[in-house]
Amino acid sequence: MIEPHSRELPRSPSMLRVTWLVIAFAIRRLANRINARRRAGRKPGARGATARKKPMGAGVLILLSFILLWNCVARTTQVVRQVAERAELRDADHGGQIIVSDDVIRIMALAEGPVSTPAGESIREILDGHFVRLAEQRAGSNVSERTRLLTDMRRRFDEEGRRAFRTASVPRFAFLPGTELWFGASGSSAMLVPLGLVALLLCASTVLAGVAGATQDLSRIEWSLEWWFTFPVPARGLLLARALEAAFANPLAWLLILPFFEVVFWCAGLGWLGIPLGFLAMVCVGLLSGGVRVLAEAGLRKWLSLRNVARVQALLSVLASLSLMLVVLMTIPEFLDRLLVFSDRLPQQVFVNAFTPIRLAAGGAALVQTALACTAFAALFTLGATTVGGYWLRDGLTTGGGENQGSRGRRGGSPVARGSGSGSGFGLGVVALNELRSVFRNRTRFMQTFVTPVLLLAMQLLANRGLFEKLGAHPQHAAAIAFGAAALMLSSGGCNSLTAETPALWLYFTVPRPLDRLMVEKAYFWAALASVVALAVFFTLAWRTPGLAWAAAPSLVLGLVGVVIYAFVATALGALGTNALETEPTRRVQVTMVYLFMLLASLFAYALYAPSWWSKLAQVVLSGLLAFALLQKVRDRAPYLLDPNAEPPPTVAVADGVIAALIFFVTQGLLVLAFRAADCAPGASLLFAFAGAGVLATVSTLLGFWSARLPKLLDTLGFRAPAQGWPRAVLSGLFGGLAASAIAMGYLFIVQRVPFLRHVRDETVTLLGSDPSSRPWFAALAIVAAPLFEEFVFRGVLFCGFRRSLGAFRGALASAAVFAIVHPPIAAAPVFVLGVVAALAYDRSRCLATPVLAHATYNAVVFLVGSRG
Amino acid sequence: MKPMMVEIRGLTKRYGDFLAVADVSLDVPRGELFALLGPNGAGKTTTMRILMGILRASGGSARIDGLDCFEQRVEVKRRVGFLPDDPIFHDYLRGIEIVRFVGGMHGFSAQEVEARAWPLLERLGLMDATDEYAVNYSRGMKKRLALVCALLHDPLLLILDEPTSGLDPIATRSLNDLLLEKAHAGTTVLLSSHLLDQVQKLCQRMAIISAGKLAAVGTLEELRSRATAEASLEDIFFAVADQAGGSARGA
Repeated sequence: MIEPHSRELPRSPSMLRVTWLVIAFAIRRLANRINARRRAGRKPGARGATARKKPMGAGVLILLSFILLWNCVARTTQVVRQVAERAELRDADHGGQIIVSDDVIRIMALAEGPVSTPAGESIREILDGHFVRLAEQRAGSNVSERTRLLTDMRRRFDEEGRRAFRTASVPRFAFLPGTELWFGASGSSAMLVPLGLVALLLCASTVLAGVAGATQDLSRIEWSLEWWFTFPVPARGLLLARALEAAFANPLAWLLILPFFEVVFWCAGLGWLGIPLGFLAMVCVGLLSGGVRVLAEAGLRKWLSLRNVARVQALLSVLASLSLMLVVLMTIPEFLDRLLVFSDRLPQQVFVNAFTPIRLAAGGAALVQTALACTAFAALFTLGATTVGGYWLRDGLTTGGGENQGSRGRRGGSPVARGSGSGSGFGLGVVALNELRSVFRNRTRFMQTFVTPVLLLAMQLLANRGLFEKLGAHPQHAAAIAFGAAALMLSSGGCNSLTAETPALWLYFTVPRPLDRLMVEKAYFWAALASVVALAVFFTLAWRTPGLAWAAAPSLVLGLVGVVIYAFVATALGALGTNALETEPTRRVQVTMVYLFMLLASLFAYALYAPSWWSKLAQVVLSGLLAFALLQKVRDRAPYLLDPNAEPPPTVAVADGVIAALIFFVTQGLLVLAFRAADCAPGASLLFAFAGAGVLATVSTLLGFWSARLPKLLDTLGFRAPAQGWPRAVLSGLFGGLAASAIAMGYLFIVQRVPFLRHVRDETVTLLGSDPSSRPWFAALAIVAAPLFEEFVFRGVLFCGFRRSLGAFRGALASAAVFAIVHPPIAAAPVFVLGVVAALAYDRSRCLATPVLAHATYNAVVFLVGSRG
Repeated sequence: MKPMMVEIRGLTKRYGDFLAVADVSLDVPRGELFALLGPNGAGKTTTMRILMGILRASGGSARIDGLDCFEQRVEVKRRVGFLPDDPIFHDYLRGIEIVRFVGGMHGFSAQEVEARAWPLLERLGLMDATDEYAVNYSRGMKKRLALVCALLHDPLLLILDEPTSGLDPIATRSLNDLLLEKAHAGTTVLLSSHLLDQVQKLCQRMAIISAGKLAAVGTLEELRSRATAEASLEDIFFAVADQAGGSARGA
């Protein structure tokens, strides 16, 4: 007989206690993440918690979250409005009044008179034209339906007059959610069923993203789960905690589900009660997603090999993206209509029943019943899922390094001879080769990089079937689609290129290559890959539309330039958003950086659609400036990636110049509007706005540098005595200004003689206006205000930032290019020369007075000559 | 006077309020086998990571072969091979692919990499696992793979953070032999270790760091002179570490 232990073993905690402990642990972690400096119960003299470096651009991230949230609110409002509009139309079809616009009602009032007069006849003709158009709009290509609608309208007008018609009660445009967007009684299925379908798709995408999102790896067990399983606690408790964590940590639940239900409930007239109900709906969906996740984790690993788990996850992640895309497409009216027609064939109970949160919108007795049923269902499902999951895991976790298993054991032949052939890797650089391997071997990454963008594109084309016909007339569409496909690929590939390296990043610190060079090589790699994708997409489109390839060639070239620039933007943004010291893969990259990338890339579409070559060029230069500014930031920060608290010393960066210029131009625009609204004379408004914006840009930039503790602040920014003494500084300023204006005079002489340039000049002059009373104001602006503030922004900050990375001469060229691009096209060439001259003069004197003088001299000469001629 | 491979002057690293390394000054001459000793959390790894340019010193300077470890980090790395305490490798890459990548980053041609890599892989007993994904390696195998990477360019200086932790006795012995051989050929070796008898056998000089401060530095004889003549390194370690900052041991 075995003797019992003399020591008493501790009692295992209950399931709920385990769940609470794990959740409290997660909450504590979150709290510490938010506030690392908090000193809870710290003993004096003991080692405190080291505060981590602040993440990049916290302000940008908050702003982006708001944009995303607002976007969802606006889109849901759109969807609700469309659903209501459709419900109203259908209601009218079933014997009610026919819905027409205000104008048609007014025409009917006239047409009700006698038809016999010629005027009456022509009015009837106009009205009939409206009927035909209306029937076309409603029935589309369905000819029999169109005829039916048309005869119906004609008949009813003849029989009942305008009493048979009315205007729509649902507004045609809506920016904010409101009860007027709801049609019919709150419980009517006309609204609930279509919205139920939308809600179902939203929930599906949230659940799928929670199970197989970009940052999850189902084939690998997180170390925390493995650690938890070493404790003598029931697996169910652990899984329940995991489900709850997954439920609340799913960003889509917060950014998609919550705003969707809030808007729907508000429109349905639930009022303030809608807000807690929205939260309830989010929690229910979150719980479902958490339960499915636990089941997937436990089940897939139990029944499938790790390799197949990875395959399933890759598939699920594609499905998640597709269902999300469906949700986005639903804001296109035609697509929503098509979807709803499809849904009409299914029984209503699929979309609205006691267990779907959308039924809460019905209010009244249904509300209480649905709230209870939903909560109970979600809770029971989660409990059931954790019980089943716990049962599946009764034999323990299936652990493994990952999906990929290589071979072990020696092969024949001399290793040196064997290896030398395979080491070359198709002549690619080692960085590109590594990146290629990572993309092709990691199934989820492969799917997200190649398959998802293609599928999203295909879906978009299916939803917009008219697009192919439009391609012939608008060749730039093809280039825009190609650029979009490449950008989609970059958003998952390029943005993640540093994150994919993070745990092994130390390796890059052991080799004699700077990390920022490596990022540049990665950017080239992604630029090449994305260009191939863009070309493939473009030629697929061109193959279906004859003649498109030639018509769209210039746009395609521009699009490819954009692809290369945005490959750099994606790599740099991804690197800046990467937290290399983070242990959890989900938190290593700030997803908001990816959204920011998408936002910036979509701005480039403007270049493809802009009518003038000048706007296109401006867009390219500004995008290039953005890429350069971001890469410079990467370069500054790269050496500090693995240091938990050291940060790069404050310096003047190109990004600071970009921000200063942005403040300058945006406030200038706003102030002009404000002064004009206050009935200020045009010339005076321009001067005051310019000076006001200049003061604001200068002061805010100085304050920014001061709070960042930039060493020798005033000295660095050129507020100092010139290096070569005042007389020479003044002389070189004057001489530089005169030289630049001499070149400008030569340029003007040429402009006079080239018809095209003369035309551009005349356009610019008309745009600026030539009111003689504004002349003194313009003089003050050109000779005093412009030199002072523009020199600070473009030479003091921007050139200074460029010079650090490019050297004086190339820095002068780069800053002058930006300076030229913000001027009217006709002035760009001489202004570019002025920019170079001013920058080089500033580089020699290190005192802003020199370029200010050069600029003032130049403007004075040009202004005087201009007012004579 | 021998030229110095490693020169550390007044080195300080601060994490918030906490001083991880406090005013440490050290010299390691060329061709020497030098050990950093000290309790857990004493600042050994931090010092090595500063030497590798992974961390930036809050004060003082660290130079390798006369080059600043942070400002001239690229040049420094042509001279140094580094083995971290707990090497983590990329998933989705095989052992041999990682070695080839490191070789490429050092600027070797494909043929050169192969010629350098295979003898090292053979010597460190990794021949069976070169086609296996590195994430699936055991801790000891990862450490050996990292060693291959560190030795690939035949560096002037080897910085090894607890090189033998996780290694089996056979691998430990072959590593010790390898290090002696390298030192004989003129390579400088700076290693940290908790195995005092290994250090006693292997290293010419050693430094004991405790609570971020340099507690003692010298040959075994010089350190012995501070204790009794027959004292083992272990006795000296306990005496010095207790003196210098026993209070920090628990931290």
